Amino acid sequence: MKPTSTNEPAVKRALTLAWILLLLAGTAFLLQARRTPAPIKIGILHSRTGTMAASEKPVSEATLLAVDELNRRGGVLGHAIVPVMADGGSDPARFASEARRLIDKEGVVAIFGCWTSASRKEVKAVVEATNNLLIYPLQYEGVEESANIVYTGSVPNQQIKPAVKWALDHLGRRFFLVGSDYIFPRVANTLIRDLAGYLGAEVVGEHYVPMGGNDFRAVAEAIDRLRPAVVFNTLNGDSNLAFFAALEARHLTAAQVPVFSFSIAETEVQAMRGQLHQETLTGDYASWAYFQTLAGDANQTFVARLRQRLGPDTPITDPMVSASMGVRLWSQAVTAANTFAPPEVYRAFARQSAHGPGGIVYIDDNNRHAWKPVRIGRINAQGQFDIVWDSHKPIHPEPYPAHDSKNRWQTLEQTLHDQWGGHWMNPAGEPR
Amino acid sequence: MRNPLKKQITKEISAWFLLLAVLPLALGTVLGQITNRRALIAERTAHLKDISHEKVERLELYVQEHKLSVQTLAASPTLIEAMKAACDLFCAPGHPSPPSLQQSGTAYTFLTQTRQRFGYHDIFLINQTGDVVFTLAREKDLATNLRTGPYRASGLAKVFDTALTLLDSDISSFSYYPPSGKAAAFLAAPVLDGRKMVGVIAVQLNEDRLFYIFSDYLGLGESGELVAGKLREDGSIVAAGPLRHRPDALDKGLVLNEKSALPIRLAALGQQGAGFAVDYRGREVLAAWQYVPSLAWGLVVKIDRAEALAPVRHQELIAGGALLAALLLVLTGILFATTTITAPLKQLIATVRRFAGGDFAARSEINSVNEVGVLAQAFNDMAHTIEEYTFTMEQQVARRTEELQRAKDSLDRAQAVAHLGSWQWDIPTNNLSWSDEIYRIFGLAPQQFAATYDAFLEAVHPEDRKLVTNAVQASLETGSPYSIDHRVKRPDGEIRIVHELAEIKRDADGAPVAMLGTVQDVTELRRAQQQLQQYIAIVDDNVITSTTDPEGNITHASNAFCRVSAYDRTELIGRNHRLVRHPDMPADIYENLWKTITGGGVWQGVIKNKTRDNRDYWVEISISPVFDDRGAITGYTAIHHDITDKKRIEDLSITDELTGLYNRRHFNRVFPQELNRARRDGRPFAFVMLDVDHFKNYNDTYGHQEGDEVLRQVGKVLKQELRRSGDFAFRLGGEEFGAVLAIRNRQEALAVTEKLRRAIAALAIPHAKNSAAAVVTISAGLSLTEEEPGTETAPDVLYRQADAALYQAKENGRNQVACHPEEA
Repeated sequence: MKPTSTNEPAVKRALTLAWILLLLAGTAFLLQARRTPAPIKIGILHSRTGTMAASEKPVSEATLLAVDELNRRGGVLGHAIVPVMADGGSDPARFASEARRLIDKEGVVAIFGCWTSASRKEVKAVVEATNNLLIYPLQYEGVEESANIVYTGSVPNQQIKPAVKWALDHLGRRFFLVGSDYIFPRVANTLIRDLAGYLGAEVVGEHYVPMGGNDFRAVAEAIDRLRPAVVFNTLNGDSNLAFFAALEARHLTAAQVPVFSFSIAETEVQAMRGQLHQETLTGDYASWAYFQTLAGDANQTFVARLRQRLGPDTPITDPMVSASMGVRLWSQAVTAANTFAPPEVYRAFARQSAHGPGGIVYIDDNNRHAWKPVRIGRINAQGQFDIVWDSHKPIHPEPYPAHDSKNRWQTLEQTLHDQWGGHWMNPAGEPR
Repeated sequence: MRNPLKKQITKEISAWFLLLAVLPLALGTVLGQITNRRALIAERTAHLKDISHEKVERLELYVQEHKLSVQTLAASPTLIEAMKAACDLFCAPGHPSPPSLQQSGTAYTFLTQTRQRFGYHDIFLINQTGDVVFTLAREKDLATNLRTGPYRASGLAKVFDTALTLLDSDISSFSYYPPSGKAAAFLAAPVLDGRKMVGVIAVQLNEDRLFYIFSDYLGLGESGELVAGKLREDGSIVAAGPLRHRPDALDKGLVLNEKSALPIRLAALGQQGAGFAVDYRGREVLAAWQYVPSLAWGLVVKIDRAEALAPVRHQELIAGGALLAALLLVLTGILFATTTITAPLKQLIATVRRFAGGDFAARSEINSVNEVGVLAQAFNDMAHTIEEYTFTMEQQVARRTEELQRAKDSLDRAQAVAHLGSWQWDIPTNNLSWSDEIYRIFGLAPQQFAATYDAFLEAVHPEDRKLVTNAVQASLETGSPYSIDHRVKRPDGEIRIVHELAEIKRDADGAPVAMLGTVQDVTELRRAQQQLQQYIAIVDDNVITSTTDPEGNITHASNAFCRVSAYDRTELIGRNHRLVRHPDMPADIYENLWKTITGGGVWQGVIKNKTRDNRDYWVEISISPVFDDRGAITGYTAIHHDITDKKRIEDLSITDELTGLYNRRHFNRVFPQELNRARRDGRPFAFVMLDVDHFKNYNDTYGHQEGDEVLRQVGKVLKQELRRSGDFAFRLGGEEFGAVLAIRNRQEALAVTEKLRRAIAALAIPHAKNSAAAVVTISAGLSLTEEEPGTETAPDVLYRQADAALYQAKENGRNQVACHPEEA
């Protein structure tokens, strides 16, 4: 007979203690198992220095905000997302090297960034070589597709076609085209010419100014002379200021010659307004998928949150919205794919859709471009855009405008690329 | 009585079982169910998502397919030509006659074939101004203008406008189309000839193929449904496809988001997701939703929640049932199992109770093999032991009681005999108990009434009460021993004296808790003691006694001793007894005395002592040693009898007044005594008769006074010389002296006698008329006995012999000693 029975208080106490400890250990273990897994890195690659910095910085901030939102909701697949900032320095070559660094050294699973087509083309080569993933938020010329890029910005058929139609209906049939001499304006103007042909409009002038150029006396003079119904403006960056200043010098306001710009959004308007007369910009047009003045709770919340971060008077633009939607859709794709591996995520991007500040964004399963609504806005006295036309429903993205063959567009681009000695802009007269 | 026990054990075991077995089981089952449910829901949701993906694909494919067909159609040269022709025909005066276009056979055939292949209801050719220049079906819409005509609000008009101005193919929703009398959707594409637009081609789609997608309920069970909704500008979402549960939805243009209908709302806004929600009917469903961009539709694939979770519910029911069954099984098992324990336990309890009630013969008959059986057996053994033990104990108790009673009786008797009672006073409870004897001592009948301290005091003599209470108090407080005598007044008035002794029992703090004492009737004793005291006092006053220690130091001296020795008691105690020794006393008396008493014997004798102020006194002493119980001498006690007076008288009667020697009378007594003694002792006996030579002459010459002086001197010499204890000197008459000598032999006797003669001569008292010498001399006649036993000489013979010897000495010239017998 054992001397101690299990009824002795000491033994009972010991057993109870053992039970409790076991329970605690179990709970602790379970809680432990739910501990946050390792954080995942993504790259945010924009120009933080150089000529593009002013335009690109707000976009990178919008991207950061979107990443914060993700993390606040518990990350993606339970992982926290760590954004790694990189500076392209407004230099395409630097964009490529930074992309390399992000992928090889930092081990990012995706890069959100680029603005200029040149920078995008450089990074395209890197992500295709490393089978990584670029999410590109800018409106661009199209004529591109990649198994490693998701394009959340608009392509010409979305941005330009409705603009042309609307201009035709409301402004007139005589078009004047002016743009910076690089790939986007060239492709855009080709499209406009095609449309003009189909719709019975006339292109009375087509002028190209070197990138960053600011001598618009000849252009202004031509416009003044020709007095087109609308000027389609695909100038980029600072050139816009010089252009509008030149028009102003000739007293050419929107009443006389309305300018329909494709590269000017709220940021640029704000920047230029201080240096021009008020009437110079007021009444001109732009076409974007998003304007800050869009109605809807989603937009109001987005504007408020972004302004909290960037400042109460920050203009909120289409690229910022695209960048934000890019992050959101990427998290959806990762969740659907249940992995962070870029190839699987790219595949899972197909048919991802969400409702953003600008409405529905839907990633096409064939070309990984975004179905988006399109709006036409007119600049008002406050420097914001009044919306004059809204497509309401999202428009199918056609990186290769469907009225012509893919081959035609590719040849067009390739020819220009070759003409420019392997660059995406005309190097002649390029101020650096 | 019995039931609580059963419940207790059963409850405990049930509780433990529930805790250890059923609870984990239940937990496990519940967790399993939860996991199961989650898994099922996840699987169902994934399933629905898959279905919705598939539906979207099919829809998109449908649209793509038709877009492509229309685009292809638009691009075919045949059509471009037909377009141009149709436009020309239309523009020509008059309207196109069906035959004219029909006659362009290839185009017509081409269109008809296309229509057949794709199942189009109609194909339209529309010019740039909006005129429907050609249709296959030749319905009312033919030749109307889509911008201005009756059907300018139709889907056909919309898609025409898009194709024309955006150069985009477009598809419209299904809605009722009057010309066809049914729902229709349209798809249009621009017809481009090089860089010129020539017109727009449109097709009218039949719903069948599209709606087939909707009615394919594979994987959607009984309640599954596909819901398509298009967001209108006023925010309402209208049904864009047929609904399983509302067949008339499309016709009626049912608005879907009147009730919560969250999925369709989200889908129509471009969101995608899956989960539980409330559908347009207000029912709970599991849904997956997506956006269909080509149609600008929100699409929801859903299944009623109940149906979705049916398997789970089924499983839950089974699991729940199983658990319940397990529980019941366990409980019944417990009940049964515990009965096998509690039943014998109940029996055992009853047996034990009987035993405890006194039935020592009660035994348990349980013989289960488990611990209960062992317990029962153990109980039986114990019961047997107790029974035996009890019996033995009872016997022992009886014996002890008897012994006790006997002891008590003895005690009582002893107390009665000794007149000694005992009492016990419990102080905290003030409980006093008396033995019977106390009652008797107090003159009461035993146990006459309850003993109390007050009753006791009542019995105490009134004058002694204070003494008693003080003594009690003192003893209690100071711990001084309680030992008092006091008087007791019996009811009949008799006064008795009692001696009380008590000891106090104290607790750990020293406080008195009990007094145990005795009361002894010592009346006779005290009286006796009193008398004794009186006697002792008398004795002390009148009898000279002294007690010494073994060394002879005085330890006690009676008053009489003090008086006779003229010492104060304090001067005596501690001093040696030789203090009173008189120097006259020969030392050998004391030697003899000491030898006798140290040897343990009693010495008797007469001694002369001296007082403090050096007076003499004679005592007859008897000294006896005092022994302790081991026989060792602890001291000596002497009783002295003052015989000073007697001695004086005696002395007077035996002393010759003139010389101080013994007189004739005394000689007459002593002589025969000493002779006898000598005989007895076997010693020689010597008697000397001395005579002063020519004493008469001296008297005549010098006078009687001088003559007395001579006698005195002779007496002094004799006294001086004969100091030994056996020596006696007498004055026998006139000038005649005698001496008894203690000698050992004849020589010694002669020597002593000679010495005497010489000593007297040495006095040199002139005696002119002495013939022997010029000084006073004596002649001595010595008679000696050297007795042999049996030959006894009578004293008077010795006397005559001595006398004869003296005569001889005188004859021989005086101043000499003659002896009889003569030298042999």
